[in-house]
Amino acid sequence: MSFGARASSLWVLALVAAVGCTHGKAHVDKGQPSPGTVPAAVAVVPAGATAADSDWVAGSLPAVAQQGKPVSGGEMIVGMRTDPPSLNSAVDNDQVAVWMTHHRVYQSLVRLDPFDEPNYRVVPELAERWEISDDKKTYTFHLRQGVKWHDGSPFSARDVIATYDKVMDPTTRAVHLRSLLDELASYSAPDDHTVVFKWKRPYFLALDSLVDISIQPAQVIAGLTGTQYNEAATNPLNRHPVGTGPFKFVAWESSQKIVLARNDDYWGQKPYLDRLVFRIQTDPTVMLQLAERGEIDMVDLVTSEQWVHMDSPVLRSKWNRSKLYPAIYAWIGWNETRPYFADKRVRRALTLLIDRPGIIGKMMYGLPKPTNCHFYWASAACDQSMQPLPYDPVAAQRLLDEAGWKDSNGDGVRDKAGVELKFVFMLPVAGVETARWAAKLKEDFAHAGIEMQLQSVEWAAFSKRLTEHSFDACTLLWGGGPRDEPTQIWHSSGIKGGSNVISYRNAEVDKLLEDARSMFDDDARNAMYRRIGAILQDEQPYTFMYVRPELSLLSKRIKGARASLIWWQFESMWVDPSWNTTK
Amino acid sequence: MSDVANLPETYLRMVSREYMRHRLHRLSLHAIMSLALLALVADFVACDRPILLSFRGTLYLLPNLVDPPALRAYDNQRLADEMNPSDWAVFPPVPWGYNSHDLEAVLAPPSAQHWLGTDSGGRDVLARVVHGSRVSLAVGVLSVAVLVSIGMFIGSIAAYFGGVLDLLLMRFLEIVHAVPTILVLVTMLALIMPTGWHSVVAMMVVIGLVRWTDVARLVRGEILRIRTMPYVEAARALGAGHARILLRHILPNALAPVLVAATFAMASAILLEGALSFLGFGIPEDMASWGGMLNDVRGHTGAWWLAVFPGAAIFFTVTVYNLAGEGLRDAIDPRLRA
Amino acid sequence: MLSYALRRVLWMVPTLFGITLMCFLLLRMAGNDPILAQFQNPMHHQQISQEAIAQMRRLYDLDKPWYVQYGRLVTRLVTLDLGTCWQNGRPIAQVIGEALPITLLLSLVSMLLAYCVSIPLGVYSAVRQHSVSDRVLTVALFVLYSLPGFWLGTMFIVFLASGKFVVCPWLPDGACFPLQGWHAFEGFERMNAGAKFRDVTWHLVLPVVTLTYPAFAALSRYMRGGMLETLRQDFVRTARAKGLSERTVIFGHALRNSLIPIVTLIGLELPELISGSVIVESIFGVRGMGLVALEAIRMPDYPLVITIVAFAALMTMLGVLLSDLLYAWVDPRIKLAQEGP
Repeated sequence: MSFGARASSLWVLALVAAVGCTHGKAHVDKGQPSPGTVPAAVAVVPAGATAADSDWVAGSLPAVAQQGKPVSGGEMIVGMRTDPPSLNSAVDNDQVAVWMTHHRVYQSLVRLDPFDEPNYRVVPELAERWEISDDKKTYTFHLRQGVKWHDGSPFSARDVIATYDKVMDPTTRAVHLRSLLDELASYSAPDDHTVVFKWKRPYFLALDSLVDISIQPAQVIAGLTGTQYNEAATNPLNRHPVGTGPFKFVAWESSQKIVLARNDDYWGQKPYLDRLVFRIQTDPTVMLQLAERGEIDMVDLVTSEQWVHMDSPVLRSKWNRSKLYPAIYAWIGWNETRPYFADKRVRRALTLLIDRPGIIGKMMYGLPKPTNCHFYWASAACDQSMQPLPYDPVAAQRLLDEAGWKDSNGDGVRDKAGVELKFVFMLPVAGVETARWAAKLKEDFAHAGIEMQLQSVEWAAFSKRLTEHSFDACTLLWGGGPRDEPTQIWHSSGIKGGSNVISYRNAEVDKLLEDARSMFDDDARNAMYRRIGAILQDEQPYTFMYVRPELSLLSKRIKGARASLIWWQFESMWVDPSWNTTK
Repeated sequence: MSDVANLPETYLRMVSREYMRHRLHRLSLHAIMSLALLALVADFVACDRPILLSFRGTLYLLPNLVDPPALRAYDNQRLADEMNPSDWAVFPPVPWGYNSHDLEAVLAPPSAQHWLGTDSGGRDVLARVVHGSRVSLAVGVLSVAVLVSIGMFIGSIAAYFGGVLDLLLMRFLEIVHAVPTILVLVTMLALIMPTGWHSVVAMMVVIGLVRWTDVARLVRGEILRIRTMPYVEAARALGAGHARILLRHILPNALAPVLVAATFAMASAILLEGALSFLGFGIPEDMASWGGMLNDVRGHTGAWWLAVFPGAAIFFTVTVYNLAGEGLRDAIDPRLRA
Repeated sequence: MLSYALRRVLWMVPTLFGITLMCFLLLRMAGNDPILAQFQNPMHHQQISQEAIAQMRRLYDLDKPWYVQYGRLVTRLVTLDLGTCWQNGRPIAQVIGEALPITLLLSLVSMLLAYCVSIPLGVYSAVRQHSVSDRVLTVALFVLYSLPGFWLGTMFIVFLASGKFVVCPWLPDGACFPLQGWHAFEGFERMNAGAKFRDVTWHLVLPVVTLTYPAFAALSRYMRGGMLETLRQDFVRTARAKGLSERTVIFGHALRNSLIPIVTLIGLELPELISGSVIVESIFGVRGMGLVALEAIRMPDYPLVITIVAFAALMTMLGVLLSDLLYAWVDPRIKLAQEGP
């Protein structure tokens, strides 16, 4: 039910506006959407710029945010748009719970290095180091010793096994995590400080797939059945997380706030902040008022309208703005089982007919950035020199004529061999922004002799029709994290039961994907992915639309913050004690 | 009323005279007819093609209606730009279609270019209000037709046959009546997932399917009353069959109150369509629906023109139908006049 | 009368079954997959394996035939063991427990207001029948009756609550009314009772007005009609003939009698208000039953939808019953038993 509560989450609003999945499932993979800034590659602001108004740049620390020496102490209040359904992200596929607990309270065996933009390499967390067998199928992790749970008991391999037991237990709600581990063959603990994971095949993302799984204390969960684990009444972790991370859980007042405090027994670098408070505020207008009054130190996600019309002098002078382009893109898929979309010339023509500059520039305040790449747009898997197809209706009409789609019966709609170029465009309900530009597409297509109808569909029906391929064209967002393995989407094997919803088939892409999957050399793999990108650019199975930025505000009182794909790193932030006097 | 039943012509004349006596009722009738006319000629009032065009040596008759393939890629703006001095055109007063996007004027307030402003996609509000009358009228008329047919059918067989059938039908009626309307409509529309004009058909059917209970109850009551009247007894004595008695003798006399109910139902169907589209169900974004236009205000509370004009259109339409219903009721049964 | 009421209540049982069955079948017919919707991340292309989906289906009884599913849902309803919401595992009783008081508060305040305004209006225009003010009132109320609630609410938001057109400079952010919610988002917990009351009142002004005004027209018209009829009756004529002042005649004698029809409408108004709350709640962002129901349908969360529908239907039927009983009680001429169930 928290449907509404969640749909009103700012982050989800962004999502709703773009995709419109109102039920607000946030995406739970490696690339947690994170507030950040203008990416380094396209930095508008010169490196090291200190202008008060400048937006932050991903991966680099703005000079204003690093003056002075870090000081311990103080409290930081983060304004969040929604209350999580529970704080156990294994039972609720909810992004807010992940943000609040993952790497704060809980830790995983390994994590992505948040400051390693744009590569986000895997670095140790609870596992100190690991070995990979020569056949790349066996991973042996050596666990950090001397780590204590927040309740004082020691951490050991038993906890890791208990956690993975719950994740793999078919009766728990950890479906979203389980599906990350499809390739996992077995896991075991030869001794208290070692765990061994065996994979069915060599898989370059094997390590990445462990990143999202928070290790939970065996003494709490080992005795629970799957159903008991799901329910808050029987699983204390759902309301009261106990982890090994730098922050300890203190209190949760429903719909009010969630309080974390520094873990003074933390094994690593202890956080500077005494307390970290997530304040829940569902109303974006009120949230901005709180920011103006200085009652919060961070607004995690503001709306595009708020961003564009931010005219408050207080906000402009005392707050930093962060605009991060995440590893999430909006796309339009053309179902290739439809006769008219089978021809790549038609698909190219459709892309050429879409006025992306107009849509982004005029309808969306110029905030999104155009993309033409499946992968994280800043990563080496994308060919940065490849430009998206332009808006060119004349070329599009020529292509359509060439492909034999002409209006032979004079009804104003192009046809070929008795098939009219007429289709239905499926949109997620409540994707207000999507519906807005989709209506524009309808007009532009009509001018080119293509008839398109819009159809808004609830997510429950939408996802079903995607898997059944029962749609003509559709639009959605994909988010894959800084590194992605897109076999499900582009390999012909993904047509049945996978995410290849448009039934795309290309032998070369199939081959490249298979090879890339077991390719552990980053450069070689990225070259393969760039080759796939070139093929996709040529064939246009999708029209890649844009990447929508995540917009946040951070008080200048807070220092040491840095934007990254992996949300905010509160461990490195500190409160500038001189701020109050210098303002 | 029994004396009246035998003289339908006079009765009709009497009702219409009674109705026309009041200025407000007369006005409402004129307004209803004007709205219907507007819906009919919407393409002449607001369209992205001219009404008459002489372009590059060809004369196009009514391109706004017939959509000549040669002009497919053109709208008024492009034509105006590309016309030679020898070309001429008669443009509609509102030179925008209901789905014409003017990206240079997104969320623009009323101006000379867009008399009632534009929405968040740069579409002309006036053009959309004009075309919205079609959806509104279509949903109203058709859903009332559906609900009156269902209501008359169920009401009359329940009343005429009585007994167990009556009991069962009335139970069924109670179930349908007690179901929360909006929730059921939302569920049904989510099930149908309509597109384009299908959504209007879907809307009318679902509204008709849940809103027939009042008419059924009314018809049942009327028939129970009329059934015992002497002339029906007489017809039965003369050996007329069930169907004949029902269709020839009873239903025509029950019609007058149904007509009143239908007029009010029209107003409430238009309201319901507006509410559903406002909630984001039903009429899709590429159509023009008044309720759907209001929905656009939610993210843009500064755009007052998005709130005022489509809402005023619904308000006006509902008011004239309610007025007409009122007048009709007074005319049919002068006793009801307070 | 008792046996009549009892019979009516008994008839509600099959009706409720019918309603819940109808809604359940509708949801099922839609064929939307609650499991996919819940676990398939809209933004992530990582497909959930078929086995995992099948497991979840079993967990939620979705693999069973429809009558078993419906049977279990109804059993839970009957035993009042409502179970938990599918999406987040929160107890349904708790979700409804949070939403219901808000909707009830809205409805009750709105009903009270409707009566408090309509009765004097109705009396006034009846007493001044055919006067200019009577005509003006009648027209004004008629116009109000045709005013779409969702439009009025939107206009309130744009003009009174956005702080962009009508401005109240003495209020913190210049907006005369709050945009969303039924109480202050910040600091409400810390307020004392008086401040809380003021805050809730301030927040509820616009929603309550939006919910109430359609009732003004109908109620005051009833009131006017009832009053006129009473004034024509013999006992009023007698009272007047006795030389009592017009005031005493109207307020002492006529008013009480003419209240009959309007009082019986209470029962019919209640369900009306609850369904009207769907729109009002979604305009003003008040999380009551209406919003919860809309969300549950979109999910679709079978147990929650069925519970809410059953509840709303029960309210409707109880309202009708209450109305009939009240009517019989205030006007003994009505014989209930003849009317049938």
